[in-house]
Amino acid sequence: MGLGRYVATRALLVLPTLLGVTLITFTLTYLLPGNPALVKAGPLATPEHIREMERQMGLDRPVPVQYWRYLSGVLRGDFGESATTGRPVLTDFLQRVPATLELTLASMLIAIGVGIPLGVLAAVRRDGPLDHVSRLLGVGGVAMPTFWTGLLAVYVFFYHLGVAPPPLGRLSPGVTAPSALTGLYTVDALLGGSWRALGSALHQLMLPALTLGFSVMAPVTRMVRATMLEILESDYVKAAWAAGLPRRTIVYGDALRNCMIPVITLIGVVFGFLMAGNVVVEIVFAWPGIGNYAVTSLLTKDAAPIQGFVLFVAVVYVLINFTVDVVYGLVDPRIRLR
Amino acid sequence: MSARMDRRSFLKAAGGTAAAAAVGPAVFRPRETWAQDPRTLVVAWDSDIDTLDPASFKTNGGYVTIANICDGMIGWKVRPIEGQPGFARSHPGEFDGMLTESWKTEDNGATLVFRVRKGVKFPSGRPVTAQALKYSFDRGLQSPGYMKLIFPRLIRTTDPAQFVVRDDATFAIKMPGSTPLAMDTIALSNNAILDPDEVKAHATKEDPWAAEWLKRNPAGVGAYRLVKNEPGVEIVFEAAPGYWRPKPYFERVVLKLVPNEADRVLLLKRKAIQLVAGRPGLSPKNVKSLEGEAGLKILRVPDTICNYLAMNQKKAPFDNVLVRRAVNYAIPIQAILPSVLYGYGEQMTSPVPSLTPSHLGKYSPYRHDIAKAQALMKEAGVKAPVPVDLAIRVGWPTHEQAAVWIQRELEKIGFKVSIAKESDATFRQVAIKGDHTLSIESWQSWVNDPYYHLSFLFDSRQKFTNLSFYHNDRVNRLLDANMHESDLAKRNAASEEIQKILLDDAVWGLLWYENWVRVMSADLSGLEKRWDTFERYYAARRA
Repeated sequence: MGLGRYVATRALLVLPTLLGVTLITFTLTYLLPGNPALVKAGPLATPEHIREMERQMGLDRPVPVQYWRYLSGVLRGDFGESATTGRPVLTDFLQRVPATLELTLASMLIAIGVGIPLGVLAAVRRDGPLDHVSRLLGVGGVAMPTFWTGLLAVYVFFYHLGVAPPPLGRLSPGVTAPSALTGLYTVDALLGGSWRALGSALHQLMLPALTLGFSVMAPVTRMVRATMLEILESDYVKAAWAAGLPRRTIVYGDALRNCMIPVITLIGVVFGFLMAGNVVVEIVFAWPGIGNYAVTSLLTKDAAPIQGFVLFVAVVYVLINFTVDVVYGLVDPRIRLR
Repeated sequence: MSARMDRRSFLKAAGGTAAAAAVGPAVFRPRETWAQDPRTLVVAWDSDIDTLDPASFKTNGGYVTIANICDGMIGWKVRPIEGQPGFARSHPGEFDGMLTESWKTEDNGATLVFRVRKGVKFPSGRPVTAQALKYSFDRGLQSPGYMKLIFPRLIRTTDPAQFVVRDDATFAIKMPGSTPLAMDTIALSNNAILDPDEVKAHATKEDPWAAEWLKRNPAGVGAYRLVKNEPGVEIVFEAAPGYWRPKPYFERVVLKLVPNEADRVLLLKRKAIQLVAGRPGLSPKNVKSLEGEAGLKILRVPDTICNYLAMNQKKAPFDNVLVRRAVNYAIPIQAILPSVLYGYGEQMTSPVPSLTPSHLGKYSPYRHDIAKAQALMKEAGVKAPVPVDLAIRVGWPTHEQAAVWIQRELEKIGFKVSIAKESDATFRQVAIKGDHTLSIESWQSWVNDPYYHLSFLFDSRQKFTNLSFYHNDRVNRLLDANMHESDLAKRNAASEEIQKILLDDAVWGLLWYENWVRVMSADLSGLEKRWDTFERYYAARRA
């Protein structure tokens, strides 16, 4: 199978998955306890007022009709309206997804940039000091929950040392946001040459990204180390050593490339996890991302944002899996042939 | 290859990334991060604006914004608090003119006549007139919000014709008879006055009251104007030019959304914010830990928030008055006040709060007495153990902790209590459906009137707020007969009678009245506590 056809087959499989996702999203929020009309009607509402709300929101219609309305809305880009912000869910998402994405990318950068070299070196210098350091970081990153490391980081770096900014979102007070192109403040500030905003955005990003990066780095390091150890013991690496190839070529050329398949899978999973699961870090740092938004909506049973969030996370995972599949195909031609 | 080479390559790859991500920003750190403009007030806040439509907002963010950017006809007057210099609070039945400068009654109080304040202009430049007042009240009565549910009940109006423009400067509300509830109801920020031309310009055939446009656009006149609303991030007010009163001290008020309470404490201590507001703001435990902290001060005012144990009378064994009395004798309130509320609350002695007129403080016989509670349970003939779920809301630390104290004591008198934690929305839906057996509820009446309070909570016809599902015809009749009674002595006497009935019937498990507490920088003063709990920042200042 050629690469083009491989990608096309994979892409076709995405569609029914997405349809299934909308069905599950709708059913889940439908089954959740709590009546969205009550939320919308407020504490003083009368039964008649609530019935009117239900009529307005279409909650009195049969379930399949409600699902169809939801699905056709989604196809038109209408995800409903949030009861807490009074805005279309799509507007809220467009404001919040870049915040989450920026934090995710920054922490992935730290996790990969530090985690992969550390894993490789830990494997190469097995049981050396660096291996012990990597083990310590690995255990620490997995064992310490992010809300705790986050709070600790705020306490030490903001409260005591004063080197970190207050945990108040993406920009320091008084700094104007750079004009929006991507929504990622660091990128927008760089593109627009707004150095003040860039400094502020990087400074605000520092602690949350380190907190998340630290927790994500652990599995990456462990995975790279374990796979590297296995590969370094394999025949072709031994042959390379025997042939007298330079160490750098063997380790970073042959061994590392071959250890990337499971690592790519892991990075894909971790990316999805971060996009959906950094709720805690977002709350600790008052980071206005989608995790924070989802929790607020869930507590108030604000149906439209919850549906939007679940759908968004599912789509992110579907796209990541699709991307990972394609990258597999690029990295390992055998997969395409099956 | 040597080990030195390993370290070098590691340092290149890892150190480079880490340095860029971590050290770099510290070097780039903008200097103005710590700069605090003395005329800017930064407040830790907890809720977004759902709409700027005064007749339909529901979130605290919506309320506080309207209260600061849209004046009403009148407001609750505040007077200095004794022993807390620089702060003030409301007293029952006292009002200040806002967009009206004077008022009088006619027809034995059935007609209220207001004189519009001279020379006040909307931001559009158009003057505030009696026509604007009428439009705003017409809109409250007819637009989609919830004021149309409030008006008939509290200001006895069902027809726009009852809102009368006598001339450009005179506006009257004609009611079928007088009511002691009228002025308090009119003072609610829900009755903020809107610029009719501005609103009408954005009305459509489907949305004749421009509720959709008002969601995002303010149309009133206030001490501040809304300059930024970024949900989840911040709400920013700036002093409005040309306001009818002198300019406020703070030119800018920034409400920063800080969802994590531990952060609020650290931000206060580091002076990155000057005040923690909103609800819950800070739990009593954290407030206690900040007592005596250098550079901070605590304002604490008694409030009308009632926290009570709701016992569903439609469900056994709480359909039995003896059981309900037993529960009241088993509540360890003397332990809850210091251990859960850290002193920031008072023991509830009547379902009507201590600050509300006609509060009956001395009648309740209930105090912690397990022996008596056990005897009552025995007398009730209930077979122990009685399994019961005690429902509480997630994220309400005082309720969570009090539930544990209550659980322990109730088990001594024959209950087997499981604590059930529910999200706000679930809790409310289950409560309304009558599916809670035992739960900790919280209620505050924004209109500080005993009948407003009692009719929501104990009238059997109030399906959504009478969460004990209490039914007593005598109470219903007394409520109906005295709701609008103008003879205040008679009205208060009837309220006392109702309170006696409620206490005899042990309708609520009496818990506590919450204090209104604000922790702030030591140099901040001028905060005012009104019945609705939301700050107007107009009088706030640095000492």
